Amino acid sequence: MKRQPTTDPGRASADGSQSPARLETVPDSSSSQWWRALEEGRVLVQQCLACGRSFFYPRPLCPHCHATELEWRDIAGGGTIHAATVVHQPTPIFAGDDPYPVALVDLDEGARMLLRVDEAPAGRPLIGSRVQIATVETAHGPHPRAVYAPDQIGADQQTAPEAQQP
Amino acid sequence: MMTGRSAFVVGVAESDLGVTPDHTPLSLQAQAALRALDECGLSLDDVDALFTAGDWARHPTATLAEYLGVVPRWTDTTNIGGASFEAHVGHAAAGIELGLFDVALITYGSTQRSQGQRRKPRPVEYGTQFDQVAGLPVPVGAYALAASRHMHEFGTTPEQLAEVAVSAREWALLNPVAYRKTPLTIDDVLNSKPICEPLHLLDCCLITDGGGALVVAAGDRLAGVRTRPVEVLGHGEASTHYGITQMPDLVTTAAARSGEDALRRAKINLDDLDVVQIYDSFTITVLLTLEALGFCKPGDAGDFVADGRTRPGGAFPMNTSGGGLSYCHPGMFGIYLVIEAVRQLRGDCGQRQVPGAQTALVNGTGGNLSSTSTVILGTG
Repeated sequence: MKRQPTTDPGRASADGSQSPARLETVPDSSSSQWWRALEEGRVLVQQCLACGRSFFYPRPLCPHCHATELEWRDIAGGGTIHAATVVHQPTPIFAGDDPYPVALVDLDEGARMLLRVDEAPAGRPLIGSRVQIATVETAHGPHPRAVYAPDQIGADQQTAPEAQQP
Repeated sequence: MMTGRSAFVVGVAESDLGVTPDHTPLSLQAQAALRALDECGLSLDDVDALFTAGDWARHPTATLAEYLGVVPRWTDTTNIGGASFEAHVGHAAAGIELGLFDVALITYGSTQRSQGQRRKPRPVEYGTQFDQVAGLPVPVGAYALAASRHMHEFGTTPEQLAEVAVSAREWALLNPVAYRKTPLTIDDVLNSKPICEPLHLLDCCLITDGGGALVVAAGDRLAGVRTRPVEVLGHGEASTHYGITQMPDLVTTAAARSGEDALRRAKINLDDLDVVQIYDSFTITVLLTLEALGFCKPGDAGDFVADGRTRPGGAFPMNTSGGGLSYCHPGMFGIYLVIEAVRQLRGDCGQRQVPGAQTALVNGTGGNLSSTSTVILGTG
């Protein structure tokens, strides 16, 4: 998936207010590559060349089989909501956004991400619903967001097997 | 060189609880430590191992040892969140069995209510940098996600979650030092403001100040001990993940392993238990833990706690202090689970005493449902 960063409608500087600073990151050889790709509008996961499974967040070894031969992959963008909440009492930096939905999303590639959900119907997003992951320009820089896409047919409607590994 | 000695909890105490603006985490720990030592007739001079956890010092045990004026030959700052103190009890028992030390002092203290630490943003960590922009407040948001999954998979209802809070309050009404002292209904919980759906304010633990202390002594150091010793029969601990995105299964906590280990080592079956203390950081924590420990089948905990089963007079006395939901919760509650279990096994609990309690299970849960530690205690 390669897509240009789009403007988050909820974040447009309609009131001309100053954007908060970008959130702090922890750069190292794994994370820096992910952040660089994100600046280009790409969302990466890592795939293990030994066991074939994908995982997120970035690190220098596969958390499933512990092999170190890994490959970066652009995600296709499709995912399924695994668990969901609506935040009513955010930490101070997100005060004023609330209430907003946040979900654990199982990517079709198998990795799991924690994402805000845009364009969800009122209330808690439905578990099992399809979403499309897109890079959105937020007040804190480009970040991946899930966009509700209930009509989309997923490659695999089931919970990703990787996410179930004990 | 193994000595094979058994370990006994001989002293337990809270510090002042609730709102303690004139205290620091250190002074609360000192107050609780002196009370716990005083009740059993030991002194700081007897202490040769020191256990504590918290973010109030860079080197917590060294800081505390200096403050108390003790020179421990063994220290342990294991920090797995609220489960730390069950781990400390297990580690102390192991060290005593090995002959590494004789008398362990385990303490905790926090002034999070008076000093507002709860509201300060947490510094970014490696794993959280990638999803902090989602704006999930932790830990509550992580537990809310697990609750959403439990409701989805098993049909668990908000009313069933609320029953955990109502049961805790019923017990708190019998505890003179509990923070919450007014009756609570299921509707009160459901009508309290939403924090992270499906969790409401009253599904969440209190935010209080407080300290606590445990004294764990070797079986050959009990001469002159004034309290009834409570034996550490078994212990287990497990960590499955840290951040909620990495939890292997949102409805199965590490207690499935820590509980099995503790029960096996104690040679105790679930049916043998008289009272249980289960960390109730949030109502969902209790339902997940009951299932992970095997008290009921996966998905059945909502039905298991229904009909007042865990309330005073019910068939399954649980969280008899009032728990983190109604008694106190100074950031990490694990030490209070042990304090209450020991008092129940001594028969010291007055109005809330479970008659004839001889065996107790304590289960701490820390982080984002990340780590658990289970301890079995007994006087039988």
